Amino acid sequence: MPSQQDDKRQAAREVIDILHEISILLNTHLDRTELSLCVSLIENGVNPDVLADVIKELRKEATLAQRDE
Amino acid sequence: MSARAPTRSRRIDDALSQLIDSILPPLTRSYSDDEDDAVATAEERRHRDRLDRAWHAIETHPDGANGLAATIAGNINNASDLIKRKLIRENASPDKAVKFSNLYSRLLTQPVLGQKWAILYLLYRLSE
Repeated sequence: MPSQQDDKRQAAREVIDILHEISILLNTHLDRTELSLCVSLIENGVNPDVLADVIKELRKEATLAQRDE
Repeated sequence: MSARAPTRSRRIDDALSQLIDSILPPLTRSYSDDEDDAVATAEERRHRDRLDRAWHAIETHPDGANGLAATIAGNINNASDLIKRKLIRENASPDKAVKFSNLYSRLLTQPVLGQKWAILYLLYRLSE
């Protein structure tokens, strides 16, 4: 008999599966780990507009860093 | 500035830190032993700077880390419509919009998430 903890973990995995498919549909380029981190941040109250701006800023920096290498 | 300002949630801090490392992986080129320490210190400072900038953005935004104020609630509650319209507008065939509708229906039945629309809105904002 799966414990309540197992059920919760299974449900969380299913949600990330669904969100990852939506993420791919929208070409967000978030991998599964990054998506899980974003879900955690938003579930803990971080504003999605702010988080989107932070990610875009980091990606811009990453692009510049790759260009310099 | 103290290593971590007291008001900053540990869970948000950890998730932000991992997200930064994922998007901006530390330098991997090989260095001599002497240079190693210097590079490690520079990496640590760079990471700290990015984390502080992310926290600054969160803490200074009107809604910041205390959730969703009315200003953007309208947008967020319409996240699924925004996404559907985008997929219809940007794709010749309706397949992607139909697939999204199915995924969205499945998402609505999931009990674990409290901020479904905010997460969908984030994906919309990051979409190309």
